[in-house]
Amino acid sequence: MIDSISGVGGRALPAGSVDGMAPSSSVAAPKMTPTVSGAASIAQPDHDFATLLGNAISEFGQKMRNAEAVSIGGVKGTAALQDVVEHVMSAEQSLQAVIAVRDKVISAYQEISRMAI
Amino acid sequence: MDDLALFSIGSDRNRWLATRSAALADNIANADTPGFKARDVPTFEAALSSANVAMLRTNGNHLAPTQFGARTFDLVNRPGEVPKHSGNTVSLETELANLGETRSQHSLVSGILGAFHRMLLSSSKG
Amino acid sequence: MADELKAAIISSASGLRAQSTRIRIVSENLANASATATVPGGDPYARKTISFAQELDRANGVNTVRVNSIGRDPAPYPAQHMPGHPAADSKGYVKLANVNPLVELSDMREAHRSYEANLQMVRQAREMIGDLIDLLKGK
Repeated sequence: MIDSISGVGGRALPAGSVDGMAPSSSVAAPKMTPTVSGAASIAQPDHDFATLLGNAISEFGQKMRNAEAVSIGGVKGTAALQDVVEHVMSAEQSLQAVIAVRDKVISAYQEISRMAI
Repeated sequence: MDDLALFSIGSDRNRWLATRSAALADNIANADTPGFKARDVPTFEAALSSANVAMLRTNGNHLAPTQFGARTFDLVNRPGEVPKHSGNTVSLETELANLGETRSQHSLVSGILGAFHRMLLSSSKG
Repeated sequence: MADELKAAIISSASGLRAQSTRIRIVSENLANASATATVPGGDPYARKTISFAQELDRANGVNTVRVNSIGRDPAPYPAQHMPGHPAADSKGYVKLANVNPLVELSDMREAHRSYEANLQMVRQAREMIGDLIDLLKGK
């Protein structure tokens, strides 16, 4: 469950459109090297999309694992309902964040690739 | 897909709850039948550990086994019930209390399965 | 039956039918509690009894209940001294129906309670089926 949903970040970006991008099946942040020369100096390491997406994915992965564990407890009747609801909602919110960042990254790269060289 | 754990146990739990519902319905329908003994499913933990798994089959086309084995749960006599004069052991209070519990557990499991299902769907869009 | 929730509804429907019949019988007893004969020394209304039996619905493999028999209460008729009554015998005694309204009312309450329990079961089984269908609908 975790891997198939966490892979949303790695699968989303089209392979081959950006150098050094490897399809990722887990929470590791993909390395992004822009093909436009000179653009590499634009991105600041602490605030670049790679970090943002990587953090969102890794936070989501953790929340998803917790949500699944608590939900299994909910199914068995060992976890409190409040706990199940909180963990699942938190995972859903986190997934939304990953999807939002991923979509922003995709549109940013589409813009970059449209720039006249 | 590696999400077998939650969907599989959620499926088992809902089937257990459905079997329990049928047992409660039988008890309630026969609440005034002389000699009738109230029955129930064993606890979920006990039921999981027994090997009652029948693979789903459709007539004609042979389906490959899925992770949703169609578990069946055999009923047992409800322990500790004092028979009425007629030999009947059904207590409507007990049955109705169990019925309410069954209803809310089923709602919870369905809700959990729905939430994770939607997350899976979102994550594989676009 | 493969679908246990449907089986629950079938069982409960049989319970509703059985309890309905029971309510009808009790109502008849109550309505005829004072019914005496019209001819001298004749028998009054005889209290009706009802018994249930478990039945396996073979077509579906579901346990249900059915009315086993509707009979007469063999208890003796109470006699009241009412000379001049059309049903009075040679000694002036009239046989009254062997119905005790208090017993019938108590039975009525029980039958009603059982009926409501079966109804509650049908409602909840339907709600559980609805929850599953909602999953299909993406709710």
